[in-house]
Amino acid sequence: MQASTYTANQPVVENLDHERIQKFVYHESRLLDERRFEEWIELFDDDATYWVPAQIDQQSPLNQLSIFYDDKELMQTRIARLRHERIHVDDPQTRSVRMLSNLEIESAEPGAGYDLRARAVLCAIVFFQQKQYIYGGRCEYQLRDRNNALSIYCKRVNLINCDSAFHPLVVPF
Amino acid sequence: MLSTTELQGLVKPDRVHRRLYQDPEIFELEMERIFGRAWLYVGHESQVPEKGDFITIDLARQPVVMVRDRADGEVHVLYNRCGHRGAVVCNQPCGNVRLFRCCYHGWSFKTSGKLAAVPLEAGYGEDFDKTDPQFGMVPLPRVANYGGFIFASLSDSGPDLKTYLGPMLRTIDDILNLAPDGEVQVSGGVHRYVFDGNWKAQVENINDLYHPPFSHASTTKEDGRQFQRQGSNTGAQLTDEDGNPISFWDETGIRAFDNGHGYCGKLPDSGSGSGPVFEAYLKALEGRHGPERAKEVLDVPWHNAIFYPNLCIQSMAQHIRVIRPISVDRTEVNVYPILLKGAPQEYNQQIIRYLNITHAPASLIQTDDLEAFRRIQSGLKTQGAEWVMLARYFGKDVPTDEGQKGMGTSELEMRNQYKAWADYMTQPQPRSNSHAS
Repeated sequence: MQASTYTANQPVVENLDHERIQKFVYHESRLLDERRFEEWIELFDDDATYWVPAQIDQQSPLNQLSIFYDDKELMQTRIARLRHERIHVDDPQTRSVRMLSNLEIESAEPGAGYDLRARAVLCAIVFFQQKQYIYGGRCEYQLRDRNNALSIYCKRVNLINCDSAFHPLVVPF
Repeated sequence: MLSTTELQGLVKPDRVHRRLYQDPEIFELEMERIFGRAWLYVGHESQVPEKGDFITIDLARQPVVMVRDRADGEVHVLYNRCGHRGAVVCNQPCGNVRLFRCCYHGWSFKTSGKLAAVPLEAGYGEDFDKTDPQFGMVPLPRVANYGGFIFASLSDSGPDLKTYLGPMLRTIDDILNLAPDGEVQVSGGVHRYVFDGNWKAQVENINDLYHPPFSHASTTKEDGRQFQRQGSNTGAQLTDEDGNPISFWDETGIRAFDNGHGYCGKLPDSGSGSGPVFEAYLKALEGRHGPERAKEVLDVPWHNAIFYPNLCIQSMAQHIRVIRPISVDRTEVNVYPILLKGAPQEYNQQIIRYLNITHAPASLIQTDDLEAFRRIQSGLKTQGAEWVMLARYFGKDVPTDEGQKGMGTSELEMRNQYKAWADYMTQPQPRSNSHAS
């Protein structure tokens, strides 16, 4: 996956169905809060990637480490572990609530392999092992809109503290 | 202050007192007597490839900068402190400089640490000696390089690095031999994580082969196999189909050496590989060593190596792990992939990919251990029992020319670490260059 090609001056396309996409990303976010991981994965295409870089403006998930860099298979392994009865780090279960805001949508350039880009500010509050943590960042979605259904081709979460030291992260952002 | 006798009483051959993990005074003494004397791993020279390149890190809780000298290309390790009023001079994690310049009054320093210029210098009068090292960024007393791995000591006395590391040098040689160009590169970023626990819990864990089937149960499927790891290898077999640990954990064996060092034997899947990327790598490696030797080189005879007190090198999920104590109940750990110069790019990319799965803060493996370390810190607050047991296979360890060897799941490695701990902690003066057996 390429780094974001957004620029500040790029106009946000006006004629896209903003509300429909907003509903989609809100839903995606709530599935994580409610730990409905199997449904969450279903939103991703088979060739999708989920990426949380470990550096600001990280160019490559291949040549540099990432906090998460999952293809669909690894996402499934990750979810299977979250369902395992002996996942100690998630015992008791991590709770989270996340707020998505400042949603901007634009259409992808022809031949991009996906149809829309959406970005939103993320504020996630995570209650993990009796302590509360706040994570902030920006979500960038590359979405496909095929056969009247939206799906995720790529989700990238740019945490503002991505290069800091983290307590264990259990539930994806 | 704790007396030598009191400190010695906290460590017995097969157990240690819970106070080692809980007492802030002991932690302060560890920083002074262990981290203040041992050779500590700082970084790899490939992190500062060009003249003027630097990285900043904390070493034994003190900010230091590792920098390549603009003049002669030497790698220095300097205290990151202005020689004037004491501010941290270099506030970026990495970069390249001509001179370091303090933000406060503009004092500037050469990349050797020497004071370069003082604004309005005349105000200090004629006695001011700019060449006095204390006005510069002071170099650490001792710095040594082995195969590009840079170590430093906060103490100006003690054994030299090679004597201090002894048989551990082999493990660095083994890693260098894996590179078709004979050099490794630490340029793939870093995983940084913290846990609310004592630093020794992480050091103990590195060669603890008793824990994987239990701590990492969530990564195994019903057949006891772990999810698929690197390349085309199948997942490691952690348990049999009934969930019992299988015998290779013991057969793997562990080695313990002077100064708290040691390593465990190889895991069954190591040294193998297949597929076009591996074949291309093998070809490159054969170009350096020849086919027969390449095969030997690939069969790295160890898995995890501890360079007491702050470094681990792992040969399978190939990485450098640095342990940074913050306080008695808080520790940061940094994990850097070891990339092989001359290997196909895709091979190095597999190393990175794999290390995301095993050691990222969101990893599927390391996070369960971090939770164990956190629970140890909490559990050892209890007053019901005073001792932490390290007695597994106690008395069964076998002496060797270089130290001792034990069964894979033996707690020999921890006993050996606490022997070194007691040596350091009960010696008020820096240790001599003796070879204790």
